[in-house]
Amino acid sequence: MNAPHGLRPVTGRLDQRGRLIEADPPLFHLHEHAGGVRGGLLAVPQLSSLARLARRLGIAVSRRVIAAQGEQDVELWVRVKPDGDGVELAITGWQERAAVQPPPAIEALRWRDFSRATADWIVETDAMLRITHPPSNMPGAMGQPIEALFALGRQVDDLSSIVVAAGTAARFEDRDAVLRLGAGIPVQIAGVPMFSESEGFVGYQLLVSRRSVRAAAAIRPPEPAPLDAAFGNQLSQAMREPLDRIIAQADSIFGRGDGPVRRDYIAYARDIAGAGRHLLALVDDLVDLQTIERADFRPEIDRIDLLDTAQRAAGLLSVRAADSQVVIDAPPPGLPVLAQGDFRRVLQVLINLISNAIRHSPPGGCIRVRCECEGDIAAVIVADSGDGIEDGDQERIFERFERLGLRDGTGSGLGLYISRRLARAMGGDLGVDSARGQGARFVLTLPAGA
Amino acid sequence: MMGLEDERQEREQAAPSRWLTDAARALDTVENRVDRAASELFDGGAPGLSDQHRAQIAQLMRALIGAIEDDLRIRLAESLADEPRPELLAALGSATPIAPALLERTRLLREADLVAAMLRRVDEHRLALMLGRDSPYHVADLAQRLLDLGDGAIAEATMALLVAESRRYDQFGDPALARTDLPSGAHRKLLWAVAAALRHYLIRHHAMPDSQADLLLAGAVRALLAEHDEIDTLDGRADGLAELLAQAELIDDRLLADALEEGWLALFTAAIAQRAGIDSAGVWSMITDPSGMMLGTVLRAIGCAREAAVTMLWRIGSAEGIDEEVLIARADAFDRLAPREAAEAVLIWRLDPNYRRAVIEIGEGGRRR
Repeated sequence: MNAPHGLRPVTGRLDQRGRLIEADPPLFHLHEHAGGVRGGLLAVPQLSSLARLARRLGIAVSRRVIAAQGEQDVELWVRVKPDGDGVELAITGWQERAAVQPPPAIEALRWRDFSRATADWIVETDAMLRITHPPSNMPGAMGQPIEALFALGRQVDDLSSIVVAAGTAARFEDRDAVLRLGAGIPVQIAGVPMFSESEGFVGYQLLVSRRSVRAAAAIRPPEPAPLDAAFGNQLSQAMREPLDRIIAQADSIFGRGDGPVRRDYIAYARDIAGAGRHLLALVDDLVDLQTIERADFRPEIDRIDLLDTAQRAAGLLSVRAADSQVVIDAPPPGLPVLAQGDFRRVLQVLINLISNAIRHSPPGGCIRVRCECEGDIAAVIVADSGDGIEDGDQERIFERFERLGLRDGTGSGLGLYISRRLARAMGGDLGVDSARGQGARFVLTLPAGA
Repeated sequence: MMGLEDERQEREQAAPSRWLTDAARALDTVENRVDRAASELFDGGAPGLSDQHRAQIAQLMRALIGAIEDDLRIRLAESLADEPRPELLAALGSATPIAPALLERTRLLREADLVAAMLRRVDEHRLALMLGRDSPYHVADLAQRLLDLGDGAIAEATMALLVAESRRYDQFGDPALARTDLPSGAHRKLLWAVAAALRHYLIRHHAMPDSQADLLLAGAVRALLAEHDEIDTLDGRADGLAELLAQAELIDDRLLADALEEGWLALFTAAIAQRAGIDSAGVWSMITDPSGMMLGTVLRAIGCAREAAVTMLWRIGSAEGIDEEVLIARADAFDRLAPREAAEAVLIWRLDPNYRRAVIEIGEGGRRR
């Protein structure tokens, strides 16, 4: 047999706990690049899992391995042989090469798929930006220029940004416009250029998504954002997309969507997705924090049904609760409990309270959610069967970055702080009664809706 | 209370019975899979095959029927060359397939041996690809070693097997199944089925008298059947080489491990079959047994050493995407299995496959249906 070989194999040795106790310089270098230290656990996951497999099977195992080394990939032929208490590594065919990046076409397809999945309308145009495939409820727009369907913002030389993009058949995203339907619906338009082999650019597929009224208002008066808010926005933009991508890729590996994956990789993927979600939640919280701490922050107060909102929040978290072997006892159906508040913000507060309760409840625990109305106050109560909170800590938990007694080390420490700020901004409050060992009972109050 | 002697007798009875049950289960699994595949391919039954399996098997079927139809049409055209029937000769020379549409409406393609042959070719192709992907070794190293032995008969058989192997792929590297690689039973049935489809066409569309069509087609089919040589199938060539290697006492653990490492599954299967005294089809059922236990059992039964056996179990399991914990469990099961128990377990596989099927069908020691 002629295994690919270099001049001499690069060798190393792991002890029974998987620590790299001997290594030729290239292997040690690779280990260091992966975050390993001298005498520490082998930090190259592909190699350490191979070593573990060889030790458990009690046989020599040979495998092709591709590992990252800085900006490059290294392709290795690795032979791992159990030897006494440890394992010997012999690496041949050490080849460095540029890291493989997904081709841009795949990236574009992926972007289009995600955009399509979230679009409310899909409209197609020809190369002259005339509608060839209008929304189903606006068939009269067929053959009309896109301006007949959308009021577009002007950007360059009085041309709309979409017209400018069409000049180079470029992809564009998040163009603000108003769909001329009824009183006008604020929308965002993303455009996917379409090409045919014979004619080249043949038009756009426009992916049209509703834009919230507040978001629409926010873009009209371009107020200079305070430095900290700008930081928050940039943080959100800079982190959300990569985190979304990390989570999506990790979930894909975890779900084995692309075929069988080794078990240890699946475990890594689950950890990566979990860490990614945690970071995403932190980004959300930080951005929320920026928003609610602005002097001009005003929730959109409306008349809402607290009972319905609490049932929705309980329903949204029922799967997570079941995963933690916790039961949510949602408020039973009954007469509406009307309150004055911003539906989305109240839902956010309740999700935060119930999520906390799940995290603090032991397996088999029960979380009770109830709604009440007395006089001019409406309330939602979220009571758990966790360890409870001592008197001295009951105010501290509403402080920023407080993560009192979290079992799993998760949470940004901002949730309760933000929730209380939101409750107060809506004219209500958020408080807690509890005693050590007797669970916690959070009460969200809002002005009654009458 | 059970005495020691009773206990020993019970143990002696229990072991073969248990292994027979396992053998029945493995065979049952394989045969059920063929049934399911046939059902899915022809009736659109419950989805058990992957899209790739289905597409590849459908492609194999189309190519097989197409090749047989072409062979028959050439012979028909030769027989009719002197007749003043230009429109019939033009039709026979056209590229429009005739038989597939007619046969797809019938149950003639649901032949278990035919579906099993196609399923095996597709499975073998996929497994060989996966093994090759993970292997640091070059394909054909083992072949070179066999050619270098200096044994003329072995060299010839090796080359014949390599030639037969080359028919395993089409020009795009997809699995292919030549008509000549079919087992003789399936080959015979398929030839006659395609001939019947052509008969229908000749009589209906070209007003050929029944008797003339029958005689022409029977002649063409008999000529093709006479050319079919079961020894020149891929399995036949692999069995031939394995027999020579066994005579030269060359089927050792290393040869098995190397054949598997290189994804040379025809030789791997035939070599185990030779060493175990089992037919190749039976060994293939063991290799593809989803529980993975039958391969470990047969390797233990033939006295394969632990290092080689566990390496083989790992290579196949890993190529199949089996979980690491399951691989460890298979290695542990191999360690725990006594050679005598293993030999008892594979005993029934050494007997005639028809007997094996019948025993299992009747239910002696099995749970069949």
